Amino acid sequence: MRIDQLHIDGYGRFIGKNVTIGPGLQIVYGPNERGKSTLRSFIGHMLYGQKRSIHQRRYEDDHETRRPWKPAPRYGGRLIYQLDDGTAIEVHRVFDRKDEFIQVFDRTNATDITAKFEQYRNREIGFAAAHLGIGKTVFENVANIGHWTLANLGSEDALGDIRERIVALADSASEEGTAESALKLLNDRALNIGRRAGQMKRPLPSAKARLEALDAEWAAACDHLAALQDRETERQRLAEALARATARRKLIAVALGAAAKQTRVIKLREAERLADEIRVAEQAVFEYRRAADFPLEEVAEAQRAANAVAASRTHLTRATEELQSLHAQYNEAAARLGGGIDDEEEAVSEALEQEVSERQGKIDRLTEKLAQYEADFETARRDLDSATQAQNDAKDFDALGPDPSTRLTELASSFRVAEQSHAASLARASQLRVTINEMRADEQQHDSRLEDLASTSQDHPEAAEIAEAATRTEHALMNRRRLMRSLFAGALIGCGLTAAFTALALTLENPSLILPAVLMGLGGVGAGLCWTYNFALLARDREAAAIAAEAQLELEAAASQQAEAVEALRVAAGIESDEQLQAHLRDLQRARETIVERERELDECNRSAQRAEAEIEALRAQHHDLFAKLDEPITGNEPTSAAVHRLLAAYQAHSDAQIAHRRTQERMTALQADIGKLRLELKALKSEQSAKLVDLREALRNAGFGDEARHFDALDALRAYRKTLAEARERKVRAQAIGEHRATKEQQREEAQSLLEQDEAALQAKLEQAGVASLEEWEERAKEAKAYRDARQTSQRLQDKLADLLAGTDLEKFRRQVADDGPMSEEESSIIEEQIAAIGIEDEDDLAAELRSEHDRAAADVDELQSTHHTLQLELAAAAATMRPLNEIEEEREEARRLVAELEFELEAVSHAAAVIDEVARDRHARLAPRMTEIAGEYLGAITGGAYNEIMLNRELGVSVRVPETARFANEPRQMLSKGTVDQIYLALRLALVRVFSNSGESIPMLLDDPFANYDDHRLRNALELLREVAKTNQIILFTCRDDVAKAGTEVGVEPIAL
Amino acid sequence: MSIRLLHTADIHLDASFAAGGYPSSFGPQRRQRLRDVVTAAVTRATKWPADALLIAGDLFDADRVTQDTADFLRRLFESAAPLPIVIAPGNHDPFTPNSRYATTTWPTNVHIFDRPEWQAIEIGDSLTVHGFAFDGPDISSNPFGTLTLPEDGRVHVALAHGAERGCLPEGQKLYAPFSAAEATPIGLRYLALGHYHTLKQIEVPSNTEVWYSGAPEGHGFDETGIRYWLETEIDDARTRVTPVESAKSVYTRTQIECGEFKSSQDLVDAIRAVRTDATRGCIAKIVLRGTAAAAWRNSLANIRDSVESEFEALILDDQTVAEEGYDTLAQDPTSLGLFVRRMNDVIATEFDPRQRRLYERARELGLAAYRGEQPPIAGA
Repeated sequence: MRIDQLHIDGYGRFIGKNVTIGPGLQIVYGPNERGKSTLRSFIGHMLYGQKRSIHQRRYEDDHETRRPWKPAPRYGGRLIYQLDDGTAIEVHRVFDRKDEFIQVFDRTNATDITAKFEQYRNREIGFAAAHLGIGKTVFENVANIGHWTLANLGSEDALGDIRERIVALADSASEEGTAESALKLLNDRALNIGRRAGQMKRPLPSAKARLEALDAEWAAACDHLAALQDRETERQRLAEALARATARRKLIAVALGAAAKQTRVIKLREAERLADEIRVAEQAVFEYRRAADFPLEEVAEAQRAANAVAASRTHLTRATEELQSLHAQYNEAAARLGGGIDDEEEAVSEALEQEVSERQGKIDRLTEKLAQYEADFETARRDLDSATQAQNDAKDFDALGPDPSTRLTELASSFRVAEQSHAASLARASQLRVTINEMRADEQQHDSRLEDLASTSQDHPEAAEIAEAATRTEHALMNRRRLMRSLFAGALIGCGLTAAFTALALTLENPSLILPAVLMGLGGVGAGLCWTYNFALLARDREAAAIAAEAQLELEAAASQQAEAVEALRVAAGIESDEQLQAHLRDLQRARETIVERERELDECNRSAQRAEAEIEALRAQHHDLFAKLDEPITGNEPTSAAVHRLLAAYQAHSDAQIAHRRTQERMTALQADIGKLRLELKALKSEQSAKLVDLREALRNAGFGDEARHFDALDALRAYRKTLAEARERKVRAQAIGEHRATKEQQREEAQSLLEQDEAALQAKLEQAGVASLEEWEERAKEAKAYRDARQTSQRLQDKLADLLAGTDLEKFRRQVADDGPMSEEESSIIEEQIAAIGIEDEDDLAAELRSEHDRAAADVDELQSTHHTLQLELAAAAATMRPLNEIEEEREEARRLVAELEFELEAVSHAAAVIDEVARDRHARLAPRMTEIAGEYLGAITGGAYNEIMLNRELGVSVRVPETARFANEPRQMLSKGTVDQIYLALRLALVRVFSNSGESIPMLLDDPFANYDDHRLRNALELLREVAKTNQIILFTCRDDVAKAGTEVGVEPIAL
Repeated sequence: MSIRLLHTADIHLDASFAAGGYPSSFGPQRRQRLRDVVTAAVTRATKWPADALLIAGDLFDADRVTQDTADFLRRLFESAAPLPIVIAPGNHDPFTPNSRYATTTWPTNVHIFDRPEWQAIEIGDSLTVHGFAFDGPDISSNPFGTLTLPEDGRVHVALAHGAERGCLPEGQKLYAPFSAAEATPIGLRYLALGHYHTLKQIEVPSNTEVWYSGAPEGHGFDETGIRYWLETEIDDARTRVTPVESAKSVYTRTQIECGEFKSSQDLVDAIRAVRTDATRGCIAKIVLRGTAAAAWRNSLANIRDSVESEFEALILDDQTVAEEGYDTLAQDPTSLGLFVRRMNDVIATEFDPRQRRLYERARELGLAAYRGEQPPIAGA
């Protein structure tokens, strides 16, 4: 794309401003505050608009700041540009929100093409992105190279800073957003979400833990509910049983009523019988009335005494038997005591047991860790084998020396430099030939009259000599006259002084004054002689001066004639003045000298080209051999640089494999060391553990634990010992209890013995009191008296019984009551029969008693069931109260599950984004690096006049520059580069980046804003010449406020556009 | 003679709200609302006063009914005595030996049908309520069509739970299916139905009024709008059924297009506008669609918090996509452009919705990372 014209209706300071921009390098020159930035901004806004986002009509801040400062027909304008295929496009824009308008015309075909482009939701038309193949951000940040970015460059780690900026521009077309920073942010995000289960402060592990807890609670609650259901079934069963018991109690109550009726009938019969028996008993009383006074009250005492004796004997016998049994039990328990084990004291302390257990745990953990390390070691070994195999398969880069990368780069560089040198020499020679031819043509075309004029205007060659002779003669004459005046004065003074000294000598009569008088006289005479000689010479000089004056007059006449001729020629040549003529003549002379100089330079260039060609051939042969050795032949006309880049890529892969191999080896070494350490530690622990276990076993044996040897594991033996010890202690306690019981029983036996003796004494006393010798005699004598008393008592008892039976009523009334009850109903009979059948008792009394008893039992059952039911109900309520409702658990579980799913999804998205960014960034950098290396090296060489002509970008876009002083590439030259050179490296890289970006489609115009802050005049000129070359493919509009830049632009043939 | 009946159904006490994406605090709140609506129905039936409260099944949601809920209901019904409360257990709360119907000691004014065959309960001098119970999630024998009525001069109404064939929503299973015409013998004045959660009257040739009362309180976003119970008055001449609004809150489901929003305030205003009835609580599920500016898209949780108090519950389903010109970005010759291009390609060819969402999210996160931005993390 090439920008042709800007028509600004209203934009910032410009109202109705038209700017025409030509192809190639354009320099827009103007002091500060003239609107250079406004023009740059206008171009960007005309192409891409002023919206922040393509989705919404939200404007950038510039929308307001770029409003026309003064009243203008509209806020906007027109931009005309031409595509690489020659199509001319005209864009009309009105930026104002209310009247926003965009229209795109194809000027070549005279059609409105606005509708051909995508219209975004912010109402922008995507024509610029479609034509340039880059978005707004890329255009603003990559195609615009502003001075402010360069001013920020430091010198400490200048290449590192440059690398950061270039990577950022290559990655995101911004100043900061690199793929590396994006990967770091994504990695941080993954860490913040949390991957490992232990990171409980991270949301994902925390949510998973919560979900697990809720799952467990859910399972427990389900189990609990099932258990509750069982209890509920039991409660229902109880409730049914209670209902049955209650019904049965009711039935028995009915049966009891019926039975009572029946009982009254029976009672009446019994009362009638009792009345009959009373009568019989009264007859017996009358019969035994003689024994009425026999003391029968003692019979019971005697009988009790006899019974007590018998009971005491029985008790004594039983106590004796029990005592014997306890003796046997005690003996048996005593025999089983201990079992050979010392039950008084613990054979092994708890501290020892804990120590051994902890150590065993540590051994297990270390063993597990050792297995893990060994597995890692095996994995590393396999990695090493793979890396070794990769290395074995690699080319033999040793042929390239110790540093193949530098060697290869140097090869490519030296070849390129030779080629550049050859090309430069040829170009320069060609240029010189053209220049010489042009100059010769110019010279030939120069007006021959000018040469005539020059020849005519030339002074006579003898004129100068004549003038010089005249002047010299004049000067000699004047000098001679001055000398003669001095000599004359000297002669006079000498004569005067001689006279004076002579007079004084005569006056004073001092002969010593004679000598000075003589000397003064001699001086005066000498001066006179000299004056005389010069007087003769003066005449000769006057003659010579006359001759010179005459020659000069002749010369002046000739000069006058020449001047007239020159004037005539000058008028004919159209030259206005002598100065102009002289200037022309000087130019002509200089041109001739330049031609000679260029011809010499041409010869030198030809020789240089020949040398370069020879060098290229030599290098090519050398490279062919070298590359053939590396099994990487240079095919056909393939540039050496391409083969070198190919080999360089292979070497970098080889280097990576070597690094991987070395790291794997280091890892294996580290693992081996760790494994060794672990084994040692494990061995020490096992040894220590073995010693402790031997001690432990010995302690067990010492404690009498004979089964110790049956246990392979000492800790198992210890546990068995503890169990045996507990059992022994339990037996001991039991034996002690039997012993205590035996003592008690022995005491009871002694008490029974004593009681027997007392009872026998009491019985004997009773017999003696009755006057009988034996108990049989006592019984015989008491029998009659007893019959009397029994009859009386029977009578009395029967009467009482009858009274009880009748319960306060008399027999006659009872007879009437029974008569009133009437016969039993069928239902009552049926119930009674059922009960009789159920109980199996037909006797009415027994039945009634059994029914009462059954009723009591039924009532007791009801009470018990009610109590149990109530208790169970309480239990169920309590159990239900301890459990959270399943719904709540389920809802919380679902919420936790959703959160886990959401976070896992987020983590997956982060991982995916990171993987793709890593892949595309590597790919992008690897593709950019060689092309930028080539282009930027060429540019830097051009700017620095060959001082720095090699830049290398590695696959990570790391920048290194060959430093002339060391002839090596350095990526941290630090103090070795001036700030100006750093600026130039940066500019070369920025220009290269735009070129690389342009390779994908339309050429991208570049807008440069004073990027020459630290350039000297020479490099400034070089840079402008470079820009002029680059601008042949990518139009460059250079904005500057510097006079030297504008002047240098003029020098390289670019006329600045003044603002 | 005039008989008043309050008819409701499908309350689903102790329902679970685990599905549906609600926060865990929503379940207890909604379960309380369900209790409240039962209380309101009983209170209304007592004060009106109704001759009987008819509950046409699904009073409980499942066999997870807590003892606490059973106790609450027992006490509530007890407090309403002597109001007769007649319940016909449905497919969600069948009468089984272990069901709360069987295991709870209900007060004497509560009558629960306990068999899958028509049973009759006489209430007062003139009303007979016929009904049956589900004996499992699927009734073992469908008694619809077998109801016979004696000519005894009493008012006969029927209470049942089942699916009338003519009203069955598409794709739903039939529980105790029946045809209203066959299920309404001559002499039946009112058939009180439960099962369908939406208020519905079914016309039959006889003079029987056949109504589904619907659920008196919504249970999810498929039960939006106002809910009712039915107040039925039967006299010698006619049967008059009046739907009475019952729900204290309504479910609302809506969608908001966010593409034109210029700030978060526009979204807040749009969310507030969803609540149209200030007299009722609003349970809103709002699907956000369209493009959204990153400035407020990453602070949706805060926006929700700021307006949540105005709703009984508010669920924002964020289906917006970041406001980015991905196609334009993909044209850039930068690695960012290449990244977006790759992601655009995989998204365009991915038809699995989850994978597609994953790739879209990865693209969004990758772009944010290039820009040095770190969107908030859920649960962090």
